[in-house]
Amino acid sequence: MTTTIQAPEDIVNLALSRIGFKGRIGSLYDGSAASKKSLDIYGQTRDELIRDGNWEFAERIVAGNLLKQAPASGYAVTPWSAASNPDLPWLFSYSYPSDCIDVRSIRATPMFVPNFDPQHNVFSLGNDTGSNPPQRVILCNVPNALITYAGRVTDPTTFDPGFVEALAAALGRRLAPGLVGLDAAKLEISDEQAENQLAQQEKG
Amino acid sequence: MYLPTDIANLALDAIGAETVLGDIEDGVREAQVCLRSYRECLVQLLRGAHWQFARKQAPLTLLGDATGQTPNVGTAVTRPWLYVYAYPTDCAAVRYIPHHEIPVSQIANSIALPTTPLMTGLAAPAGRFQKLRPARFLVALNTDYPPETGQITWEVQGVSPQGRTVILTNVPQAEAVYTSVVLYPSVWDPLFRAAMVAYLASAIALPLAKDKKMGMALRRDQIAIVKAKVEQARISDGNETWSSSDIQVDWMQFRNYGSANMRSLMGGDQWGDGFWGGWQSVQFADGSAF
Repeated sequence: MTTTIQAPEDIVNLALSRIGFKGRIGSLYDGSAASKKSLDIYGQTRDELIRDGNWEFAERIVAGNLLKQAPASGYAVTPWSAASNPDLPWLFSYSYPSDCIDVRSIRATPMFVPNFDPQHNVFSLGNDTGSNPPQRVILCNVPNALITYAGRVTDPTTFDPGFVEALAAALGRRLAPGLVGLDAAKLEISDEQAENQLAQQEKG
Repeated sequence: MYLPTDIANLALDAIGAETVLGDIEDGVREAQVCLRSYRECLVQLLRGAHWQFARKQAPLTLLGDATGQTPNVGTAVTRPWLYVYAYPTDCAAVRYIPHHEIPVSQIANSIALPTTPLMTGLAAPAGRFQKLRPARFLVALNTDYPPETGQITWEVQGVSPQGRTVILTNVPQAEAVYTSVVLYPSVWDPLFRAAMVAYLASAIALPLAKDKKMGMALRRDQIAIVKAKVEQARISDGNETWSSSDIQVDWMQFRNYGSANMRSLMGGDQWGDGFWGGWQSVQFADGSAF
């Protein structure tokens, strides 16, 4: 009976089978050598792939949570202060979404939709040392900003099939040296590159 | 539907990109590159020819009247002009300012005019059917009229803390005939749409090309397409609209107007950089212009 991807273990087993490992894992926490190595790299590999690709299933848009803003009159009257103003030379700082892996764009909340006057807005990521504790922030010049970002998606059932393949290939490349040897790892590297390219094309 | 995203996708198709954008603002690399060039390409292309679909005739907002006849506006106007108007925020290029007769009472130190016509039996030009004759004007930077409080200066065309773009002319209650920034692709002429796709493609070909040599070749091809389309637009524009061979010679103008019409003697339209806005050249990513 064929199975669909329901859990991280399914993707790890897919990766193990790709590198020719004789065995499966029942759980990432079952204590086997394969599961321990998989547990070490699974989250990081998944997040890295989400960040590097433009996966639509991971795209999220949220209204920015405004933390600080520059005074309308500039700093001629009130001097700039790290505690109450955004980093220079920006006008607004918004909190970095907790599940954000990569900020893709900042846009103004459109008055009308569809928006026929799309604008490119520059932004920067900063570390706001003026708050306690320091926190990661998004700096821009857009009031009422909407933030489009690639979010951390942990539920494999919402993964794009192309992403599952790319993730299995990436996991395989990392698992192969420790579990089946270097030759398999080399093969897996070329396989991963092909998978990534294919997945990106299909996604497009 | 014609959305900016559709135009961007057509441009991506033109350079052989495999990505299809769902939204030009979603921040993926291809969208970012398209978005950076989109507005710039649109405005430059609009300025490149007198596209009929973008022709707009609208009253201008008066900022200053040197004659002091208009309440609630300033009187500071760059000499030797009489009126200063705000540059329309949706203007890509001013084509011309239609002439209005200047009331004699508004001209300082004007010569008293005869109250009886020098000739009789001449019909006065009817306002509605009066032909539009271009008057002199000048687009310039003005520091007398700062932007309104709270205006985000970098988002509004022609407004900055350094001054604002204005139109100087001697025409009271002026209207402008200009090429407006038409944001809606559904209103664009098909020729313009094709030119815009090629223009955007020429701008994004190099940044998005994996092989830069191929990118440059694609850019060359797309620029050639844009040039052909703009040339076609300039020719068809000339063919479709009326043309005038009127020569504005003072002594000839008085033959047709027997009443108190002494505009040309008053020096009201004797200065400036011309009557007709003309086309602007279209700049390309390879440094050339057309």
